[in-house]
Amino acid sequence: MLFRMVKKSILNQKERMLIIALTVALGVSLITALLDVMLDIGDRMNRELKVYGANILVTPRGATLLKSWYRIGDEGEDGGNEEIFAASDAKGPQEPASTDERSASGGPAGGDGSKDRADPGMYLKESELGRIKTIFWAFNIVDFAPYLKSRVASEDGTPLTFVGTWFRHRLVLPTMEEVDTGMVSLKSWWQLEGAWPEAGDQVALGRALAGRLGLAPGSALTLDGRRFAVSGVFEAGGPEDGWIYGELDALQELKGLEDALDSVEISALTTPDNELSRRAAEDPSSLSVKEMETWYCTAYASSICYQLEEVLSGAMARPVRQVAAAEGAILEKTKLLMVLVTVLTAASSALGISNLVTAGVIERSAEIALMKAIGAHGRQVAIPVIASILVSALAGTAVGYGLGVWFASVIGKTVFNAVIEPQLAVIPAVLALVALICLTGSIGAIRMLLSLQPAQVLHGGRQ
Amino acid sequence: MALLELDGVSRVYEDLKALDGVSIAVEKGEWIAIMGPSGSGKSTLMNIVGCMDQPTGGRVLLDGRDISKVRGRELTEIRRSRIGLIFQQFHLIGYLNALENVMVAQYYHSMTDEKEAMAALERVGLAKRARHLPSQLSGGEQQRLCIARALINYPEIILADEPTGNLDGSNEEIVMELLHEMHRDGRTVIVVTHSPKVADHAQRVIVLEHGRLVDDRRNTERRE
Amino acid sequence: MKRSAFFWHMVLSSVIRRRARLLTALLAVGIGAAMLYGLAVLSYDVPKQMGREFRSYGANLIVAGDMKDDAIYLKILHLAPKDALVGAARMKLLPSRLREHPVTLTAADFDELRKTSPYWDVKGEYPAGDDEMLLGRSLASAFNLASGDRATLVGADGSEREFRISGIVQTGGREDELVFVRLQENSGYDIIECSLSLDLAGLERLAGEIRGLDPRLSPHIVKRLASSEAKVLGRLRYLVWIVSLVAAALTMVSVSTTMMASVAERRKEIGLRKALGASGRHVMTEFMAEAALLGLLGGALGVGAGQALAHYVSMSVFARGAGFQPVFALATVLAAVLVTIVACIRPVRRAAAVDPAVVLRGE
Repeated sequence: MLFRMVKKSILNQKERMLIIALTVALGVSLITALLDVMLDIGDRMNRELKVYGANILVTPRGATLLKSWYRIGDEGEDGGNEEIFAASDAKGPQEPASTDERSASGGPAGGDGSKDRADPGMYLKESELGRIKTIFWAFNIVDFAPYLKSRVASEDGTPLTFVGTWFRHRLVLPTMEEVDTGMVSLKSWWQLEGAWPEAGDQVALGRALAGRLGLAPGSALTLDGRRFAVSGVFEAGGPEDGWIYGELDALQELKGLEDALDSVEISALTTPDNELSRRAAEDPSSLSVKEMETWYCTAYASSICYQLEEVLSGAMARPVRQVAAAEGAILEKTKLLMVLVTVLTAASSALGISNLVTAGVIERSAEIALMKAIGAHGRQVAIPVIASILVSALAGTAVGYGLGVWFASVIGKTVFNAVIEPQLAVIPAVLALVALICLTGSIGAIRMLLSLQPAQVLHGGRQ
Repeated sequence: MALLELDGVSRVYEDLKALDGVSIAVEKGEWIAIMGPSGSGKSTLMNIVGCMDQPTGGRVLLDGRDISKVRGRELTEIRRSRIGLIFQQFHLIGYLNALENVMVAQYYHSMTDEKEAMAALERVGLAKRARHLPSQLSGGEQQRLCIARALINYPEIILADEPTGNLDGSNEEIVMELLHEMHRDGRTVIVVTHSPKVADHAQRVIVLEHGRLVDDRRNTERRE
Repeated sequence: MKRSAFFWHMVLSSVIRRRARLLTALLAVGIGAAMLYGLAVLSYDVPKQMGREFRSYGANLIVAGDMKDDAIYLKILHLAPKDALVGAARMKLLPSRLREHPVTLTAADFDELRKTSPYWDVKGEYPAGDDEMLLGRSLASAFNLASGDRATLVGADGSEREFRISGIVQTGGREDELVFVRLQENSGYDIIECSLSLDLAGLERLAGEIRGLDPRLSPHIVKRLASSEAKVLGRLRYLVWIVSLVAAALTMVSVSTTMMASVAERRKEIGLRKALGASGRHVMTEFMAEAALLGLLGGALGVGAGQALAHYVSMSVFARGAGFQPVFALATVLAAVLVTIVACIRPVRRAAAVDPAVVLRGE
């Protein structure tokens, strides 16, 4: 009998039930889409923020400070670093070096390799780079690039800065997997005319240096007695504009520094810092075993650094705070924004649905009063009404969920050019929400109607 | 020439013949009762005369003009100017008070005139209830309000569908008395009813059965 | 009462006396309008506010040159759009030696530096007095110095000065190898680091104006920040707009379904009006006027609620309120009116097309 009553009541109120189902479908699709986007937004924005370049810098533990002293000591003779300021800076080249480097701290750290050639502890090992992709958070390492910086002499003997790196490099991991990485994806803001070097005898020149030497893509130059073809000229907007970039192997060979690196830039997806990560960064040994475990298994910049130091011998890994801290702040804001927008949208959708459900119940006031008049209990009156609403709402939820997943994928595709995976956790959340909305919306109205005297409702003329 | 003439009027709803070749001529100033059991076609006949429905066959002549083929705007025009409707379920607009419900009919007809609307309410004894909403009026009062509304545009024909169907005895008498008043003013009154008591007030009684005319007689014992 | 006055009287009565029933429709329109307006304000505001957050990446315009006094600094401050300027720190670089090793001593304007470089991690305090200094972390660990220790710096001219280390700075960048002290008033400076929430075009315009101020000044845009910011902010703006668009569109559709339901409910009344002599146009005009009134009321309420929502979101995310946007408010009310009118056209037309007898019969 109940089934029959529910069926009849749905058919009878076909239009109203259709509208309830439709509104539920719209609300659910909106909530589903926003929840899916919200749950994915951290990851998506994190990837977007990778355009700022590396957020972790690895340098040889023993060499860092010594090298930087030499660099500072060298500045008098090394005019290469200050091209961008030197042109108009009356003070001369020696002083502003630190600041212009600061403004572009994504550039290779470490200094002039030639001074320390004798000591192998001053370098990282190229052959160990594959290990970066074996750490716990290997999946979060988006890109990395090794650097070796050295002084070379041009034909007329002028000292020039040469940076050897990987532009686009295919690395075969110990696990036989292949990874494509390199500097090009780390320096999205560099503007290139021509092409990045593809062979050991090609180099790319900074715009300032190219201008000074009168070189363009296609021309050639001799460095340390070896001829190189200029494949491209780039503009970095920093001190790199005065440097030469070439293949890492070429520079190692030129300088006899097999397997040597003086820095690695790493771009990783990280979790914004919190109290724990700050404490750990200070001194990992101060953590309890449990805290240590939490920290190690969370993608904080500091725990990724710790893991990098574990696999790279003699390495010191530091988060580049300029990138890491700002990234954290922006991620948190974006997430909070999406959470609030989602919650408010869900709330107003819920309000809209419950409003409609209430109206649907009130519309049936005469029927409910009549049932009460012929002796039905409150529950006997309420159950068929609620059941019919729930059935239509459920139908709406099913349609709405599908629609929502589609909306989320459209948003993912148009905004991030990536797929936003539907999260399974959204389904029970949406179902519970819809049930809650429909129950509160209808029970309130039914209570109200049941509290009225049937005669009052049945009396004609009441609109 | 008769005021209203039905000539072989039929109305078919899908496969149901609601009216089947009914011919009646109504003279001006006549009071006619249309009787018959439920489903005999009385309401269909009333709807056709009231310009709310159209026959599928035959002709309906009003003042000699065939209105059976007239549609839309023109039909609305005829209904608005020549016919006053009274319903069994009153059909009042719930959110307008008594006076305003009368004025709605004026509004659609031509001009609103509050004084005139008030006079109409006075005539049906509702002057004191003019500011009440329909839900605050009793059934009898609601029906009197319907009559006031039907009267307001001086229609030639008053069409009442079971006007006392929802009323008790004393209210029925009041309503019938109002119909008599209108009839005395020279209006043509057509009442659809299945109550012989109500039909007794008419000058002429028409009986329908299964969509066909089965009786058309003068009422010799008319109640005045 | 005039005929037109009676028309409005009828429409108003329907709105006022049916208020319980109308509440449903009003609520729906209100919610829709609140969503529309609130999201529009956020879409407009968020990229601007977010732009400020991007300033935590540090200075994006560096002005280099030999600047003797504050005249140029003040002129540059004046040139920069007021609401875009986050900070502008003056700096003077002095080659020095710490324990016989060459270091770069940076005299800086710390109040401004904290604004332009919020990512600095300082253990201890920023220097409060002229005899205090901030030491880069690498130097501190190499010389085994800590906050509170004293160290002597030797200037290029051989002059010696002792400083107390007030804090250790750590950034993972060049600062780790520098020494910072307070910039003396009127001692001149050679770099101004500016952090501005401007896009690349805005920065270029400002750089041009600064160059025009004094040809010896050389303003440099930190390309890395400017171009990356444009990319990320563009994505973010796009995201907010598209989310708002989807949300607003869906909400408006559900507003119109609710409106349709509330009109469909009144089919009987429409039939009655027709029986009383109303033409289709009469009925349509009345319902449209009613819908317009409803849209106006709901739209206005919605704008109020939407402003509150946007303000709340903006406050909690950016700690800055969202301003009232009269153009959006007007557009929202118009959209609300339009949606309610459009939503009721079909059901009213359908009800009006049916012969009144069919509607009035039965029950």
